[in-house]
Amino acid sequence: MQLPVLNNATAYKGARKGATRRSFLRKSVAFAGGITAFAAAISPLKDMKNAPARSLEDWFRDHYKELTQEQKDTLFADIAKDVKEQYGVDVTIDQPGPIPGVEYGYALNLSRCNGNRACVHACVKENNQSRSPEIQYIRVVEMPAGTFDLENGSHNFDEALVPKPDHYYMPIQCHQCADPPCVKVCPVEATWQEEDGITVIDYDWCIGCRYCQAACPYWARHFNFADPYIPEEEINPDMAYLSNRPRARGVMEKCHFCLQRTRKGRLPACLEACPTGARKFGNLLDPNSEVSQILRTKRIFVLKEDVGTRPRFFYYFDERTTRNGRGTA
Amino acid sequence: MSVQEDKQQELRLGNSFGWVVAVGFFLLAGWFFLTEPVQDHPLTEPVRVQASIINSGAFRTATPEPPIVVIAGMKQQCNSCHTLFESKQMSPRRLAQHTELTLNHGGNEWCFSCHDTEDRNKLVLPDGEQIGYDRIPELCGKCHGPTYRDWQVGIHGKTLGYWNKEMGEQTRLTCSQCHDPHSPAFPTMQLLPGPNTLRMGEGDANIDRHDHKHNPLRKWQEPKSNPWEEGH
Ligand code: SF4
Ligand code: SF4
Repeated sequence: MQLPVLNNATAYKGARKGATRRSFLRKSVAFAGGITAFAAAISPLKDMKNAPARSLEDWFRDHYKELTQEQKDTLFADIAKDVKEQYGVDVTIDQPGPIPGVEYGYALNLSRCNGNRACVHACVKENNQSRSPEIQYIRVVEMPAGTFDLENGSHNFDEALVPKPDHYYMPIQCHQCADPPCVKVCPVEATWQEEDGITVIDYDWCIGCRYCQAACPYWARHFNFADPYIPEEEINPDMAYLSNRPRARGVMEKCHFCLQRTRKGRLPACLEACPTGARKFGNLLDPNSEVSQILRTKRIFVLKEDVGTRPRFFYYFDERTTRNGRGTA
Repeated sequence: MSVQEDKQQELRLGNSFGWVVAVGFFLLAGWFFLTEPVQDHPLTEPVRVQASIINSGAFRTATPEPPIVVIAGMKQQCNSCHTLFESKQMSPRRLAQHTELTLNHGGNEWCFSCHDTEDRNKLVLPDGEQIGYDRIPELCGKCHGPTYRDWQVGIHGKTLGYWNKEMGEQTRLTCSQCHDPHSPAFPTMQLLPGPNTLRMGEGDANIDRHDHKHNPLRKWQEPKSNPWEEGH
């Protein structure tokens, strides 16, 4: 009868003793295998053209909100160096903070927008969005007149001339919700709402889980599925950390009301590019601002009001239309 | 078979298994090092949009004050001609001059609703006051009251520069920087390229939105013409 091995102390001891060389071999093989596997795992690093300038401290830093100004400055300088190496362009990176007493609002006149998409491409340029794969923060949806049903809208309109008769155009971008579901679902706090109402993303902190993309009811968030491609000569060198600095593969991005411009008092790029003057931007807390005047005197609505996100992006229309020469005023 | 032999057999097996794994790893590592990295981009050829097409300024050039018109390559003011030649008739008629203008301004079909009969370098308000070209919004507002009031507070029209006037200069465009006073309806215009789904090949452009048949993995195809490239 065969005894269980554990009870046969002598035999077990002998076996161990006799196998010392073998177990050494086995261990070295496992070790070599492990090393090889590690080498294989990090082998993509050898294909990186330039080693990142980021210091080890940058990689193991605290959450952005916990950084001192000094740490931020080092971080920004290191990123600028990286961008210089990758794109050969000298850039400035900073991060303007919210202006006290300012809460941004956007209003868009549906009676004026003619769907020419100038805003889309001005935004791509201003915010260094990937040209391929294509990332665009603004979607312009062509809608048949007389309906608000987005199911009937189309992104793929391609007329020779716009506006198409009996259609209107509804551009959609991040609504900077006052109660943003995207922020609530982020498991790592890589995205948060700032005092002026702009929801920002720390591209270094984002783990790319795409929860926020699923949570946003306005299709505002865009994911970098591959390395972004931006032609060097089209880089906008005027960058901010939480807005238009180049992103990496695997992170989320979205409209941030051009905070690198608006927090320095300027108007957003989409607004300045709009040839019809349909876009209006300003401080909701200032009763004389253009947006406040619109909220007070125009008929406005927000998209998907029923989902309770309380957007800061308002659609309005004129009492009468002069488009195509119809109407009187 | 003794326990010891059994154990040795097991170890031999273990060893050869270890070798297989190790050789596998080595081969894998060799393959990783020898093959070129997969090129991710450009996944699709980007559509280039000329920066100059995106116009972050006025839609059109308004007549300055005092008015300048270019006739036969020479800069002239309205009065350069109108003080030399007298207009024959002061009622609506078909003109032999100014044929480059199309008057398509609704019920407003007479030059002198806006232009002054005496001084052609001036415009005129309904009460007869002569005004310069710099006061065009006032003139337009005489008929387009609601739009004028909207424009005054910034609801209608285009604003450029700074939303915050304390931080920088703000420019409000005036009526004739967007609208042609003789044909004021905003014109239809060419549109800039749409999303990539439009360029994913035959059968994908203008997809019928009711059957979502387009294939996002389809490769980009050269559009029949790209009006947004340089040289067009
Ligand atoms: S629109 Fe979407 S991305 Fe923007 S704040 Fe709201 S939920 Fe977040
Ligand atoms: S994708 Fe990034 S920002 Fe979005 S929820 Fe995940 S970690 Fe947060």
